[in-house]
This record gives sequence, structure tokens and C-alpha cells, in this order.
Amino acid sequence: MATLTLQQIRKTYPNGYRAIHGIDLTVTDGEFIVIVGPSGCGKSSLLRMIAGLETISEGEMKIDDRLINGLEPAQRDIAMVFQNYALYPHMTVYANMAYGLRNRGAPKAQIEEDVQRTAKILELEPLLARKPAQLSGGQRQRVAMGRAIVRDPKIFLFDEPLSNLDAKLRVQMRLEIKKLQRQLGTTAVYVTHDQVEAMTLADRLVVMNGGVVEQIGTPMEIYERPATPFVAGFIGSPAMNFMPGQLHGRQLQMGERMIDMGLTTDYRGSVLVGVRPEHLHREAGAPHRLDMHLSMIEPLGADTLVYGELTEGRENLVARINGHFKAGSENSMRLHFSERDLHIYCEQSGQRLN
Amino acid sequence: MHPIPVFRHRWLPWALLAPQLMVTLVFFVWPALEAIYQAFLVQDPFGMSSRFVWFDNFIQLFEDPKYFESLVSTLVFSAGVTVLSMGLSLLLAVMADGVVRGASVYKMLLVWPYAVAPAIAGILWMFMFDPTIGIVAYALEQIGYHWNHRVNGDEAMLLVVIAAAWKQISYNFLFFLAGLQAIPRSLIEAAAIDGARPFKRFWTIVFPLLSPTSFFLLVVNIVYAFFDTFGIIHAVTHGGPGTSTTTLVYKVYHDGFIGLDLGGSAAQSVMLMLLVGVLTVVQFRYIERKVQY
Repeated sequence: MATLTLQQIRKTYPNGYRAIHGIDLTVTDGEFIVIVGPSGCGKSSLLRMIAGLETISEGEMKIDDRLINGLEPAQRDIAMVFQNYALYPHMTVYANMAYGLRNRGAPKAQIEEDVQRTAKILELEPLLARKPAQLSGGQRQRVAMGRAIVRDPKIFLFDEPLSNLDAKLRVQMRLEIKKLQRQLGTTAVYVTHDQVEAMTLADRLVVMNGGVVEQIGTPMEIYERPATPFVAGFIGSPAMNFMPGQLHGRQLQMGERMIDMGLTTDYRGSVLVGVRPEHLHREAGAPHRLDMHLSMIEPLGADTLVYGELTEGRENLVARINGHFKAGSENSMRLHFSERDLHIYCEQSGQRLN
Repeated sequence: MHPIPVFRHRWLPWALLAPQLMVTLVFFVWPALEAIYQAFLVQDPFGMSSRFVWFDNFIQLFEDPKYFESLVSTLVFSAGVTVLSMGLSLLLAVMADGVVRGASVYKMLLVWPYAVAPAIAGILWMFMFDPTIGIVAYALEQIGYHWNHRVNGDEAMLLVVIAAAWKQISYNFLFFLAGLQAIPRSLIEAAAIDGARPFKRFWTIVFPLLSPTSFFLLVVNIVYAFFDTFGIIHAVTHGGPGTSTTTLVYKVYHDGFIGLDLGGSAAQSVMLMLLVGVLTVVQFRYIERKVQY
């Protein structure tokens, strides 16, 4: 149970590479924060700085009110689940879980009790005498979780813990992690590049790119009002469609079409207009429309993804169509959308305008 | 089903193997058989005639206290060499593992001694410790210790142990370093988060994970100390003073070629062969099974 505060955290590696350019973040007690971003965006560096495995170049990091910049990992009272699990291969599951308690000089009876209780929560009891090599991927993952939980730390850190599992197990473990974190009420920071994991697990999401925080918010806030074109393109699958446009005060011009956005901004000039594939409809319920040339169709069962090009602008376009889509002989289709589902960004600064 | 390539030539495999087989036969099997045969013979002092005496050479060997002295010297020597070379090389490897800048230079310098021939390594150390002209002996003299390994048996033993260990450190170092670098970084980090201080991390995580490497090196080092150190001992002490550094291998040479007791020497060789056999079996049986996690 703890809050974690980051103030203007920066990381510069000895070779001069600046991995993180000033991050401010406050994680409240019991919150599940997911840091998401493409490879090399600095998310792992940030997590390792919280863990104490990397030094903090600039800024202040606090757990509750204690400054932890100079503390050893062990003194920070955190627990971390690694991508490759990092189980001690020469120790049994029991010893793996007891290791941290032993190092802290807990009495033997206490260790026994804590390990047994944790094993019970995670259904690891029959595996306690085994070595990690004798476990399946999911079981190893669970032991790694157990090792983190058993010490009852202030903060859980997860470094892409599910990326070594197969798809089915990943979904299952995802749910379990979320349930466990709720149940224990421990503050958690979770790093991933998988946006589905990010959306489903997070209380709040931190989207990072190139060492900078692009946006912080709840998953739905970020999905509905992405602050930058990067966030808009990164969160959501398939990715958002972008088209060029011109903004004249409250009027948006796309090709020949004028759309009244009802904006209060007085910005005039080139903009990027984004619309999510799921907000392009075949039904004529929405006021605006566009035409696309079809190039490919991917039926997903519940939905069908339709790929093509915008007839007037040649931009690539994806639409998510409900249910069946019978590909007829026609090679173009008309799609409808509402101005409420448009995302408008300044072409130069990337700033959101609506 | 893949088609199985058929190799039609009967003579070609043999021809390809022939050079290796010849070397093995001429330089290993034949002398070994000869040694076994010799072990049952007694020569007259001039080498003119020999007599078959069954196990007399062996019986004499086991009744000879000198042989057991030599065995004890060998054990002391091997233990010293193994402990010293493995300990130091592990220390160096752990330090080298932490080096970021100039790591390759550091490694190259540490590996260099392995390229030095044993006799030359011996001479090197002999000169450094020479009681009259050696720089180390001189330095010891300055701090009030009178070093003379030509008179003092313990000092002689210490000197050959140092010289032999020095040569083996490079080899051990390479294996230890490779072993250390094979340990995933995240394990050490996990241990750090689990509250283990560096020294404890080493003993509870790193060292157990190195145990296969360590066991392999233990066997290799014992074999080295037993059988491959003739050159060093010959160059540094000639097995002396007295017989204080006469290891089993050195005694074979000494009794056979200096003492001209060919039968007795051959019997010792046979004993050494058995010892090598035992060590090899141990190496193969346990190296892969016993030490793993």
C-alpha cells in the first residue's frame, strides 16, 4: 500500500543517449498503472529506475513521502516480475518464494506460513517441491507472481510478464493478475507493448513514445480522446485512419466536403483528421459519408475488416464492419461517419484541436 | 523419409582415420602396452637381459615408503594447485565480468600465460624466486624472510604450486567467465530486489549456477596437477630438495631414467594409468549428472 511519485524524472545513459526526458507521474494507493509504448520508448528504463536497477539521472522519485533515488532495490520494498520470470533455477518453488523472506531475516515459522498462504492463493501447493525446470510456462509465471506477492511489498512492478506465454494463457493470466491486484490492493506498475493488455489491466494508462509521456488517462479517456496522433494511432486495433484536411475556424474541409465541427478554436490551416475503423458504418445513420476502393477483406467472425483506399485522396483506409460482409462484384463501397467521432490534430504541432 | 546417403567405399573411412589412428597407436597404445609388459620385468643393471618376475615390481612399490611419500607430495601439490588456480581465476572472472570498458584487453592479458610453455613458465618463476639473483627472493630478504627453495622443501613445494597454478589460471578464468556470462542478468537483479547483498548473491545464486563449470574445472585441474606438471617441476626443482617435490609423475621419470629401474618405473606408470582411468570415469559419470539443477 503506497503512493509512488515521479517528478521530472530523466535518464541519460553514460554513452550520452537520453532515454527519458522528464516524466511526472503520481500513482495513487492501490492503483494499477500500465505504461505502454513501442520498443525503445523508455518504458522499461522507467520501470527499472523505479525498481532501483538503473540510476536516476535527474528528478525525484518518492514512495509515500520517502525519497528513494539513492536507495538499493532491496530497501525500496518493491517486488518485480520479470519478462523471463528470473526464477532461481537451482532452487525449489518453495525456496524461490522464501528467498526474499530469508534474506530479510524472517523467522522460519513466519516464512513457512507466508509461503503456504501465497501458494494457496496461486494454487501452487502441489508444485512447492519442484524446480523451475519442471514447470510449464504458465506455472513459472505463477511462481514469479508468488515470489512477488509473498513479501507483501508496497509496489508490484511488472516488466512485460506475459510476453513469453501463448495467446490463450496470456488472456487467462491477464485476468488473474488483475484479480489478484484488486484482491491484494497493492499499487502496481505494469510495462507492456501490448495495447490489449494495457487497455484491459489499467486503472490509468501512461502512453510513452521516444522517452516522453504522450498521454496519461483511463483506458476509455485515451481511447475516446487521444491527445496526440501518436496515441491515436497506437491505441486501438486496427489503428486509426488518418486523412488530411483544412480547418477554417469551426468548419472542417475534407476534399470537397465541409463539416461543421462546432469548434471554438480560431485555428486555420492544415490538420490531420483521424477516424477509428469501428466508427465507419455501412448504415446510413450517420450524417457524413466517404467512398473507398476495396482492396482486401479480413473476416474475424464477429466483425469484418475491410481494407481499401479513399476514392478522392488515395489514403489507406480500414473499416470494421459489423457481422457478415458479402464481397460482391462491386469494388467500392460507401461508408458513413459522424463528426463526433472525428479526431482533429494540428498538422505541425500534433496538438489536439477538438 | 529422407533418402539415406549410402557410403560405398570401405577403405576410404579407414584411410581418412589412418593418420589419427597411427598417432594414437604409435605414441599411445604401443608405449602403454610396452609399459604394462615392462612392469612385469626386471632388467639387469646394464640392460643386457631381463627376467619375468610377475608382480614383484608392484609388491616392491607398495612396500616402498618413498612411493607413499611421493603420493602424499602429489596430493598436497594437486590440492594446492587446484585450490589456488581455481580460487584466483574465479576471483578474476568475477572481477572481469564487472568490467565494462577495456574488457577485451583485460581478458587477453589474463589469458596470455596459457600460451607459455610449462618449462618456460617454470624457468620464469625459478628466476624470480632464485635465492641469489631472484627479485622476489630479494624482496623477501628485505622484509626479513630468508627464502631458499633449494634447501627448504616446503618453500620448494610452494614455488612449484605457484608456478603450476599460474599457468592454469588462464584456462580456468576463461571457463569461469563464460559461465558467469551465461547467468541471466535478471536473476541477479531479482536477487537484489529480494534483498540479497552482493556477497550473498554470489554465494546463493551465482556460485550454485556455476557449479557445473566448477566441477568440470575441478576434474580438469586435478588431472593437470597430477599429470601435466612434469615440465614445471623439472625446470624449477628437479623434484628436490631431497624428494620434497617429487610427484608420482616425476618419480616415474626419476626412477626410470635416472635410477635406471625400468621395471619399477613401468609399474608406477601402470598405477598412474589406472588413476587416469578412474578420474576419467568420475569425470564422465558425474559431470553431467551430479551437478545440475
